[in-house]
Parts: sequence; C-alpha cells; structure tokens
Amino acid sequence: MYDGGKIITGLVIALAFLTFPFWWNKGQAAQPKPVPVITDQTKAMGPCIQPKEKMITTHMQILDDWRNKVVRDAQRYEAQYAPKTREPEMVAVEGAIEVVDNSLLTLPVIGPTRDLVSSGDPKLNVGNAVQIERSLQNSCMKCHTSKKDFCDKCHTYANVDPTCWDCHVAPEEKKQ
Amino acid sequence: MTVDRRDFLKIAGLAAAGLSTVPVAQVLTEGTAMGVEEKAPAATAGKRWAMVVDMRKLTPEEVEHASHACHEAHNVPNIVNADGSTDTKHEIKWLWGGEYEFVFPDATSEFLAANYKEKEFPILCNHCASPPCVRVCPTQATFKRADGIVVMDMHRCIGCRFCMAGCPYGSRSFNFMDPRPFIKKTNPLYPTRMKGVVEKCNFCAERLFKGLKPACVEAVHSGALVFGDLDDPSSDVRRLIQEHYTIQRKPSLGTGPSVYYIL
Repeated sequence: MYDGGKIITGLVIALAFLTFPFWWNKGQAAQPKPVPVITDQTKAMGPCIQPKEKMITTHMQILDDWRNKVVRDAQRYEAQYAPKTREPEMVAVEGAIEVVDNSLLTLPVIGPTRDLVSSGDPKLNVGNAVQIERSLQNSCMKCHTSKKDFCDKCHTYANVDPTCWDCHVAPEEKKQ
Repeated sequence: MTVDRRDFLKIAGLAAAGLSTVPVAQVLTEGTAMGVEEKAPAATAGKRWAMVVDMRKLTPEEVEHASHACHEAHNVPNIVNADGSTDTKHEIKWLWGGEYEFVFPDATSEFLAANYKEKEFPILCNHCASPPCVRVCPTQATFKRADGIVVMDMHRCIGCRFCMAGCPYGSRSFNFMDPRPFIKKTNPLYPTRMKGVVEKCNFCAERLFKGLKPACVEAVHSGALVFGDLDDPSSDVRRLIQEHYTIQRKPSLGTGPSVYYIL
C-alpha cells in the first residue's frame, strides 16, 4: 500500500470525527423526556376535544384542518359529542377529529356560543353535544394557558419550530 | 404515393400550428376565469355583505373613531417615524379617512362645493363583486367568500404584492417590518401579522361569525355606517340604497364595490 501511514492516520481522524457526538456525550445522562404541564386549572376546564394520546400524535393535523375550515370554508364552529356521553354510533365522521357537521345540528350557533366564548369557556353543553370555536388562540389556549409550559416543552425538546406564533398571540405568561 | 421533404415539412408545420390552438380551446370551453367563482360553503350561502356610508351624518372625528376601533380590534400596527409622525412609506391601514378628490377622482370637478371638498370620507376595502386582487393572487391567499367578503388567508400569502398593484383603491398595505413592536395594545382574540405579508380590511369576518357587527360600525354612534346583506330586500343597506342616491368608488372600472356612499 502506497502512503499507508497517511491513509490510516486519515481514516482514524475521520472515524474520530464521525463518532464525535457519541463519545462527547458519553457518560452524560440523556435529556429527560419532557412532560407538558397540565395544571389543575386546565383539568377543571373539562376533558379535551380528543383523548390525550390522540392529541399528542395528531394535534398538528387538527390545527391544520381547523385553519382551513375557518379561513377557507368559513366554518368557525365545530359540534362534538361530549366525551363523557360519547357513544360509538354517534361519531359521524372518521379521521383526525370526530366531528359532526355544523349543518346537522339545530343549535343556536351564534348566541350561546358567543356568550360562553367571551366568558372564557370555549365549550358549550347543549344536550350531549358540545360546540367549540375552531381556534388555537381562543380555544386551545383558553385551557392551556401557558405556551411556555405546554407547547414549548416538547417543541423545544424535539427542536421543532412551528410558525404558529409568528402571528397568533400566545397568552401572557404568568410570573411564577 | 411518395412524400417529398418539402411536403412533409408543410404537413408537420400545419399539424404543429393546429396543436397550438388546444390551450385556447380549453380556456374558451371552461367558461370561468381564475378562482373567483368558488363554491359556496353552506353556512354562509346567500349572503352578500355591504356597507353604506351616510356622509350627511359622518363627522371627521367619527372616521377617526372608526379607524381606531378597527385597528385596535385587528392588531394593526401604528408605524411612526422617530419624530412621532406617521411613516407614510411603511404604514398599515385598514380603514382611514381621505378627501373627496382622492376618494372619487372620476366624479370631481374644479368647482366642487366647498363642503364636499373638506369632508373626510372613510376609505376601506370595497369587497368588490369582481375583485382584481383575487384574480392576480398567485397562491389564492386572497379569495372571495360566498358571502361576498374578500378575505386573506395569511397562511398562504407570499408577499408578492400583486394584489396591491391590482387594487385600484389602495386598500392594501404591506408589512415591510415585523408589526409587533408597533402594536400598542394587542387584542388577544385576534392574530397579528408577520413581516412580509399584505393585509387589508376583512369586513370583520371574525366578528360576523359571532353575530357582531363590524368594529367600525359599532364605533360610530350616529349610525352613519350601516352594514348589512344586499341579498335581503328588507335590510337597512338595501333600503338606504333604494331611497337615496349613492355613489361607489371608481365604478367605471367594473369591480363592483360593496361600499356605497350617500353624499
């Protein structure tokens, strides 16, 4: 082998360089998996629109679906069966969210929903159905009142940087 | 039969020319222009929102109030120079006041009555029946809803500003800089914008969802701004337009504005 010494030295340096992240972090404890904070106050607001596991994996699709419905199709409100009384045959549409089309319900969409939204409660019980405003700012963040303790916990850990907050206004963080 | 080179080239040329008519034929048979005629979402079908401005009642202070209420409700930044004056190159406006000669340039004359010359006319997006901004938008970020409102999908705007060139009313503003530092009091119920998008009046689409009238209409207590459904023959806007002589801005352009002025 011509120039064997140089080649092997080069290979060793390259290998050391490539494995740098492994030996640099050796011995250090892995970063703990983040847990978004769900406060007692949040729990008191009632169950989320979907079970926790589903929210963890599909909240981005839900938000995407919401923004298209609100902005493009002018469908601001969504009727859902309250999780406690939800029965399998009542779930009308399959997919990311179990939604009943607004037009299927004879609910007074404007009056009571508006009152409840302004009173800080985005959910409205009408019979066994709830009606929610499709809104990150006005519905999600009404219960999850801290972006820092809720959204950012996982997003920072996973190094994702959603552009939601470039425009949408996060609730004011309470000083601890 | 033999085909010589000359004949072959002639036939090939003719055939190629024939192919070039295909896209033209497609456009002619399609019937509609670009995405203006969209399918009506069931919830808002049959509505056609419009505004009537009654200039006999409206005072310049009220125009100021309306503008302020609108800008506060929608987190419109107030971009000023270091000395506190409005930065006219970068300012963002949804609703503001202008003089007759600017608002109705094709309906003015040298000897216009002085009281019209001095009046302050509110200017906002006209929510045109055939909006040029919608036609030119390459991403369909600006589109016309079934209820007649020309709205913007900020998630899609790429900031090309074709709509600003297309709008004959100057109703649109571009965010040359991050607007957030210039918003004095943020309304937590409405988003802000980011650097690099265009914005304009949305006829308070977010308030209409909740059965509320637009913020400007609510801010003017004299009732000089009237908002309603043109498709409803008993609505206030229809009644006012039928009972009074109204003018629209630059009607000769054929955009079909939805804002009517009673002089």
